[in-house]
Amino acid sequence: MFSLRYLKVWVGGAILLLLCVCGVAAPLLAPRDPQAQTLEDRLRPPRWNENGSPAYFLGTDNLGRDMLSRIIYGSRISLIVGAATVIFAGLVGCTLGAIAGYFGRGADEVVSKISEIFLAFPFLLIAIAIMAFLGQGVGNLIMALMLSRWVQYCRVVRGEVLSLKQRDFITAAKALGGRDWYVLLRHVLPNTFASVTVIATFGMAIVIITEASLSFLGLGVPVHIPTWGSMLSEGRSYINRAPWLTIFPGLAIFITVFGINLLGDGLRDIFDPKLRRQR
Amino acid sequence: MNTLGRRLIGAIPVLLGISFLIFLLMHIAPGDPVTLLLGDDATPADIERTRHEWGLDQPLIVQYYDFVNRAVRGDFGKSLKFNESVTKLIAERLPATLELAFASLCVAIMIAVPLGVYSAIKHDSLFDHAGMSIALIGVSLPNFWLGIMLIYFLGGQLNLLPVAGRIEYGVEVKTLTGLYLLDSLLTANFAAFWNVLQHLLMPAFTLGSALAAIVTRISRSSVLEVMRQDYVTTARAKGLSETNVIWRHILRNALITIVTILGLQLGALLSGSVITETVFSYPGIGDLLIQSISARDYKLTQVLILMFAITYFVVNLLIDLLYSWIDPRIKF
Amino acid sequence: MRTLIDRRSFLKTSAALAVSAAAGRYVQRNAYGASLDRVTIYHTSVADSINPYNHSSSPIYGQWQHVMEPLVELDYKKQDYVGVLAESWQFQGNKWTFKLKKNIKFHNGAPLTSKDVAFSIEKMRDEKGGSLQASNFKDVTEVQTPDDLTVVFVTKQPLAIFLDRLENRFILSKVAGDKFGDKLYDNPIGTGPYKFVSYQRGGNMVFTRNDEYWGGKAAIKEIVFRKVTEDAARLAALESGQADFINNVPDHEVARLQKHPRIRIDKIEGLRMFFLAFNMAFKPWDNKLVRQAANYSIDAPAIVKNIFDGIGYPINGPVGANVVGADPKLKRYPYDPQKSKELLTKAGFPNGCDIQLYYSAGRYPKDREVCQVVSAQMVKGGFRVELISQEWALFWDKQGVNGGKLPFYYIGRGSLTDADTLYDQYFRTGTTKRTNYSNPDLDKLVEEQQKTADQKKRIAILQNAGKMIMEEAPFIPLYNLADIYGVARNLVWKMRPDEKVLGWDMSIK
Repeated sequence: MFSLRYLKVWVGGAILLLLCVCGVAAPLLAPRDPQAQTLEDRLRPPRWNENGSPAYFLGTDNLGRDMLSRIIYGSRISLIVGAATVIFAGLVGCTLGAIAGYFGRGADEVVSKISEIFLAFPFLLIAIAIMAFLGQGVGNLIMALMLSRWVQYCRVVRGEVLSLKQRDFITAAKALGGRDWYVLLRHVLPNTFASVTVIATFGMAIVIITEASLSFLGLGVPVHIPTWGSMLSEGRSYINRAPWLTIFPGLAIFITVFGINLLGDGLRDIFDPKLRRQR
Repeated sequence: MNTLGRRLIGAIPVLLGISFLIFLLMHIAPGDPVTLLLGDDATPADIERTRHEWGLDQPLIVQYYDFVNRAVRGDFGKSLKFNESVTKLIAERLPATLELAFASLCVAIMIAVPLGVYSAIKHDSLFDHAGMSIALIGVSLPNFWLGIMLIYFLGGQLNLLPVAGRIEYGVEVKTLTGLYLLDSLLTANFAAFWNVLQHLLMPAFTLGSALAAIVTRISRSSVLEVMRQDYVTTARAKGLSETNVIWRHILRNALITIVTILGLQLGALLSGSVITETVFSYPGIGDLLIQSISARDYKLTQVLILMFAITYFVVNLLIDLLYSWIDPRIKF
Repeated sequence: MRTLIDRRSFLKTSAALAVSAAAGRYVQRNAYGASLDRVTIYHTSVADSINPYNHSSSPIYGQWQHVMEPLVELDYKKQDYVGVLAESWQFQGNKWTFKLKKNIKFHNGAPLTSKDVAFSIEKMRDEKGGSLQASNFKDVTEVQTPDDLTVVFVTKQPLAIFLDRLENRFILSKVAGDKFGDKLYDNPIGTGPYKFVSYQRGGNMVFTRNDEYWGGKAAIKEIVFRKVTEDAARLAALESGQADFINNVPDHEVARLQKHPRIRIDKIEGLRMFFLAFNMAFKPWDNKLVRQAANYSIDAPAIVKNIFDGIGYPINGPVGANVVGADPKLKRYPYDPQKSKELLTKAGFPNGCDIQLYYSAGRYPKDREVCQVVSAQMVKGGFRVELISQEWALFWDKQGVNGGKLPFYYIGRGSLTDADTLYDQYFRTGTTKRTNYSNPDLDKLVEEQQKTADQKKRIAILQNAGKMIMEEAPFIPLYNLADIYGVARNLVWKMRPDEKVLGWDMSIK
């Protein structure tokens, strides 16, 4: 259980768990109100710097708000948005992709048409349209990101299923009298797991980064909700004067993405049935 | 050939559907191009008059009919914001984006495929871990931020590369294809080639980095996947040399997934171009799209998105054809 | 042994040389500053169209003004209009008569005549052809050209403020118009100090010196404008010498750049006035006491000091000190959250009052920060503020500001040189729905000054209106910001408050 093979899962899981704890217990962990402005203390460097103040461990931003508290609170939105998008997009995409790939013909035709329509829209456009129509908000952001992400799962699962369908063990399973749905769920889908995990882990990372890009274009979540993405995009113009405004949110994003990827990698190694057989 | 024809015909309703959807979306979404264009001084009467002048007070369905009717005859109308025919606007900017996208793709493939494949072959080695960590950094950086950092350090502090645009004023390229790199090579104008390349380096790296990271991961994982297949074991058992196994069996099969991902990433590449072009003031269609959306320039936005749709459709059609070439077992 | 070390150091040196040669500096040409041959300007706003009438934006007026000139121009020092192409003018009844200067020649050699003026105005009124400046002539019924140097504008009713509408209305050559027809705008021929060279959308807009300019030759030979909207890119270009001149330097970069050996920072109070507008159609803003309370709760000087590093000009009274019609005797509401709470209690909100503040994030400098500070200040004054950001297209549209749908919003009015513009557009009954403010007394004053030709009398009326507006408090005036330019140290230029960057006002030290 504690072999090197599981190390990735443990480390990645620990990082993700830590983040979840941060998000849930933000009010308890954060030393200050992330919204409280102290204009006299604006742009204070982190504590270990010579001008740093012990009151602000990671320094303050351009409105004199505590960076540490904002980063702790920021994990909430990043995690909620990331997880919700991946789950919804993954469910929708995998289901449609598997149906299209396995049953082919009519089902494939319909799903491919729909996915073509969605793929034709650059995701930013979907996001901009939804944000403009419904206004800013976490829910709308998740919706926008989901609509732009599900196609990825759909296409890859479809491609994999198409290829798997031709393989001997599927033909054998069918020949042995397995019903379509049974074969699909028991034999085909588990074999797509590796690719889906890879896409999902990267998907989550991309979602977190997309949130930042939307902030860059002035969309995204309302300003009073601190997110890593908006901190990064607002802090960018202070790169000379106060680099910590971009370094810490950037690090937060990096560590999160790193953790998620590690977890995904490890999970794939464990769950991949063929891998288990081999080793 | 039959399949190809069927798919091309099948695309027509999709494109019509897309165009109507965008049309509806744009008109339903709040914001009026006239109010935006006229600015601070406009009174409601001015705005109404201009709307009438441009036919924006017509019922939606009439406007849409008008659009399709003209579009079929090749007339896509005039952009309100730029006061110029949509066709001309796109024509003058499309080559820039193609050049950028192609350069980014090259950057990504040149870095990613060798890195990914080698990492897989040297599975669990130090190289593998280092390679994957680099890939991770690649995806963890939002590309607007990466672009700005490059501008700040390479452009501003070190003064190595130009920070904006496609070419320096005063450097002339004779336009043949509109792709400056190609044009300058064809006319043997190496000074211009160098200048264009310098302008292209930072945007292409910015746009290509995320793609490179993804492709590295996917190449690695699909090579790993293939390496575990029975036919690879069989090939090895037959006593084929390792190089032979890698080239003939592993790479060829792993290519399917890699190619799919590249096709899928085209959308991301075009989306990414929106941000990259904005950051680098690069005069391409991504920048044009953002400007036209924020000005609510209906016709221009409409045609631009249709164009994205068509590009995407064509590329994926090519990819599907590639599939059956790489793996003859896949049929449609 | 000795030779070995020598060879090593030789190898090291040559390697270092090779690296630095390969990674050569991008800009060598003007590493020490701008030159007389060419000044490269990276600007946030450059023309989107080759049609010079297809916009209504001050920086872009400045670009076209290199090639074409207006009849009159506002002199910011004198606070009055001076002739450019016009020698003199006369206002009588519903007629404005202009005498043109003699011996002015277009770039194609043709002399300037009244026909060119009539022709250009026809082009400006051509909305189908893409002009966005037509509304300036909506009150003009006829343009007469009794002789070659006289132009008469006949208006529906006496129009004292017509000079304001004629500013930035540039004159093109009719001879060129007849020659080029549809291609007129590809070949803009004016009378200006520079000739048009080339324009690429999203690329460069280039002008070259007109050596026969009637007003004297400019110093700089070539002017290149390029649109660069990202702050970091403009800054990097300036620091590396890729650009000689940039606009919109972020204020938090000013201190650092002032120490730069090759860069100078130039600041001037801008013409954009920032304020928070109430919409009287919404509660509680129909109540004057609440509006006054809000005025007491805002500390504009603190915003300028902390958000803009002190580079800004808090407004005393309803308009900034440089605006025509400003009243130096007026003061802004002092910052007094206690007083705000008292007024709220008096107005029937003893437990505070819920309000929503709208703004369009990214539209104006640091608008996110400003609005967050504003809401924090208002909370201290007894309000409970919800901040709502909308995309500009939505914010400015008929579902937003211009439809009178936003109760309370942060906005900036650009090119504000005359108090009339603000009073007419925001506070006069029925001009726009932006505040839905209606006060017959104020309407009368605004109307009266628009008919008054005597500038001194007109200013007195505007000052009266200003007093009324301060008492009624239909908005919270905040500040004007500085236009901050980054310039190569050896480049000298005349700063202007209207965001125009003019090549013939530049020279090299």
